[in-house]
Amino acid sequence: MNKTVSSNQASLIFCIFTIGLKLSALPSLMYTFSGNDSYITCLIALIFDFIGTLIVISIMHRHPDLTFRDFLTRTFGKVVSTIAQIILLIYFFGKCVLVLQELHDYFIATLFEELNPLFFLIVLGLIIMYSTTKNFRCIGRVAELIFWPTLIGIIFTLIFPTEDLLPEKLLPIFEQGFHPIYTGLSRTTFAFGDYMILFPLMGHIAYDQSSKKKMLGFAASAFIFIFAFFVIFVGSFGKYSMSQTLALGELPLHNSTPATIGKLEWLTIMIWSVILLADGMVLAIAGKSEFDNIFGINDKKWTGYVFSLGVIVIALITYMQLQAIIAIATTPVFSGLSGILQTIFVIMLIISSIKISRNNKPTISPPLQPKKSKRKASC
Amino acid sequence: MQKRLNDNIKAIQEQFGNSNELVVKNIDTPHNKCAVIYFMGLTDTIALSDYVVSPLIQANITLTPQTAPSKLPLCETTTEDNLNNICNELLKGKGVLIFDNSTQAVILGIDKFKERAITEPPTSTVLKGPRAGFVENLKTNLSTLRKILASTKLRTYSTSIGRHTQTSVCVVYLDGIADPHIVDTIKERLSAIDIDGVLDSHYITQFLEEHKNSMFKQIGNSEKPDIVAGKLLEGRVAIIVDGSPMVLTVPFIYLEDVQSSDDYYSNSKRASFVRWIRIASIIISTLTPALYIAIILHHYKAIPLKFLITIINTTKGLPLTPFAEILFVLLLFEILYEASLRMPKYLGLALSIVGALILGDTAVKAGLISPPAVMIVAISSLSIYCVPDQAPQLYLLRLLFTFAGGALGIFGIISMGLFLLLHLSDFDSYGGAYFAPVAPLVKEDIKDALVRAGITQMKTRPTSINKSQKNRKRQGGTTHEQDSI
Repeated sequence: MNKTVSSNQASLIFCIFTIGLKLSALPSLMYTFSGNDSYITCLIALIFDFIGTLIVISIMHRHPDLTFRDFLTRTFGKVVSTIAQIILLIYFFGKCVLVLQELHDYFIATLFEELNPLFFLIVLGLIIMYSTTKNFRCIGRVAELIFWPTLIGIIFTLIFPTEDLLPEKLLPIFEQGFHPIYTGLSRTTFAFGDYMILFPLMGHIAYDQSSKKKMLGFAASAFIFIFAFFVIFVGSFGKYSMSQTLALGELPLHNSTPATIGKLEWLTIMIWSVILLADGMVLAIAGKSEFDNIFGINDKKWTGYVFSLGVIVIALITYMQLQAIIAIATTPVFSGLSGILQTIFVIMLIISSIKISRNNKPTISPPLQPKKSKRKASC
Repeated sequence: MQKRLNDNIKAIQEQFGNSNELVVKNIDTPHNKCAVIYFMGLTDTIALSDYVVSPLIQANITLTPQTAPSKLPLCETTTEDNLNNICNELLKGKGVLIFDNSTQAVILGIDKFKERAITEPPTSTVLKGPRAGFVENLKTNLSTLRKILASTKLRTYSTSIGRHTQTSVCVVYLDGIADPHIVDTIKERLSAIDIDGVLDSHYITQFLEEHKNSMFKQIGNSEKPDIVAGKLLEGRVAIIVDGSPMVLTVPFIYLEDVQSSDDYYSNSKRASFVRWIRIASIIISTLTPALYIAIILHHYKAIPLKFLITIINTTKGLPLTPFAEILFVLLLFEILYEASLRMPKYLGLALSIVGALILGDTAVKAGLISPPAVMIVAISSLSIYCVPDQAPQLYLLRLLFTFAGGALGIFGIISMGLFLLLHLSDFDSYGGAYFAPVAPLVKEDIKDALVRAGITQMKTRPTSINKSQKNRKRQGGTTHEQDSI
């Protein structure tokens, strides 16, 4: 990846990635494990995620020119670095397949699409394939373009269903102690660990004076939004939350404001479709980037085609098996492994950062400059 | 060039195939023989008689190519000894004065082409503000620009392009404000052009574009000197082509076409509001037919019942499917558009009535098309002309989105939209990102992008296209020595 991404673009990529997959199957899944405590579980998971994000962003700022591969290679060697990148590739690949499946289910549920699955998934796959010919700078710009309409969609998604929110549906909490929360946390790790999207971006972000605060601010806002969504979801559906398997499709439609019925759902459907598709594009570009890093390939289009073809094939094989995939992803073994790996990556980065700082003069962020800085990346 | 006068005359005549338009005027001065050669219709014959022929005849000393320029009351004179260059100068309307026993000729600046008056260009009309437009003559256009930009920093670089047209092309920029790298790149690309002839600036555009196969506009253009001057002040580079009133500017960003010179000659709040109207019109023009067809074909279950009943009633009994109907109406509007451009003026009114009646009334009454379809396409077509510079692209995009919406519904429209955003987000025009200053976000430039801040607030030049010489004003108010606002 030769082009540079601005901190604003990196923040928006992070937001899209964070929000994208959490609002579809996860809320009902979380309710299955944690019951009424599901939003508390979400809160705790997001706090862990935020801590991880904070650590990763701090390390990135401390060593702005080092890529994820550089960190691991310098500290743990090339083999460990390659293994880590293979794991990341699998992670992005799996999530990309999930996005395609969720997007398909979302369209069927909200827009009543009755398209041939082959046709639908192939079209989605082609879009993902095209996005792999681009880079993070490109998707960052797209994120900047769709940011404001997305914000409007977010507001509509949250505000109107709030009318039907009943605080009594949120209670009681901790009725069965901490066990449901622990179960929810331990079985849904695959859905969290959003800082992983920052790994392919490491070393390619143009920082300025306020970029650290900006990135953390955006991350915090995304996490707050997700938490608010979970609260409104549980508060609206209560004990029926378990059956709302596509929360993002159900919640905007669960809106009894007379003036908006039949009108605003369209807006939210279109906006969320865009976000989910953008999420898929981010994952595809991230996966392609890892693919290139593993094999030492420099910016060739065919690697993206290979990655996307793999995603399409697996998506077709697992067509209409979203619940089965989720069932596998939430098994104790898989979830445990996922959580451990997410934690290990952060620990490895911390160790690398300390070691690199001790061995060399720390590569500090560019000196503080006035807001109209001379150093402008081609973002 | 030869020494003998007759040999030179013969050589020049042979170069032009003994053309009847080439006039050779032999002059026997008291001390020497000489001849003036020029092309009929390209030169100012009155100036030739008054400032060249008469003085030569009346001269009481021996004139040579070295002394003649200072003796002749003509401002533009040079000497030349290369036959090809002499022929090129003749083609540009210059006169050539050849002396006997001399291998050098004097090039006389007596070119005078008939050109149209400076009028308001039809593509950029304004309610308030300057109405002058560029013409087909490069010198006139340059002089118009110099009149506006009375700056010692205004630089020009001229070259000729086209093997058979030798069209003069001039690169204009403000030294110290324009990016020298962009200027050099343009000069390089222009010198690399090898083409038979250049008839319009659009020929050059296609050589300067960075994404040759894209349908999207990548080079800015304008027919108005005040707009080009404004762009030069922002750090852009202009390319003027002889024979074309359309001046090119680079770098180009998409929001340039959303801006209008009217915005700067009216209230800033009103201008900001109108810019948003233009942005909305781009969305309306491209998406309205697509959304209509997507909803009718694929998402009718999601439409509120009352609205659905209305649509069903209006589309009942039509011979065409909704998709075919929309395409048919789009085609009719395209035909109307082409016909209105090319029809003779004296038939215009009659044919307009026929077109409107056929489309708007008779076809609907005959049950061929439905009123909603006509209305949707009419709204879309009108919206396109809120941003006329983008019209060619918007027509095509409208069609693409209609196909996407007809084939895949809302999903198709969203996919096409994201595909286009992804495609265009990768565009850079000479260092300027296509969607700057929105993406990448450049906060300092938003004040003249999505909104139009007051002139007093626009203290810096847009950094999206030019990262040097940001300040427009010096401290302590304005003086005539400053670059300008």
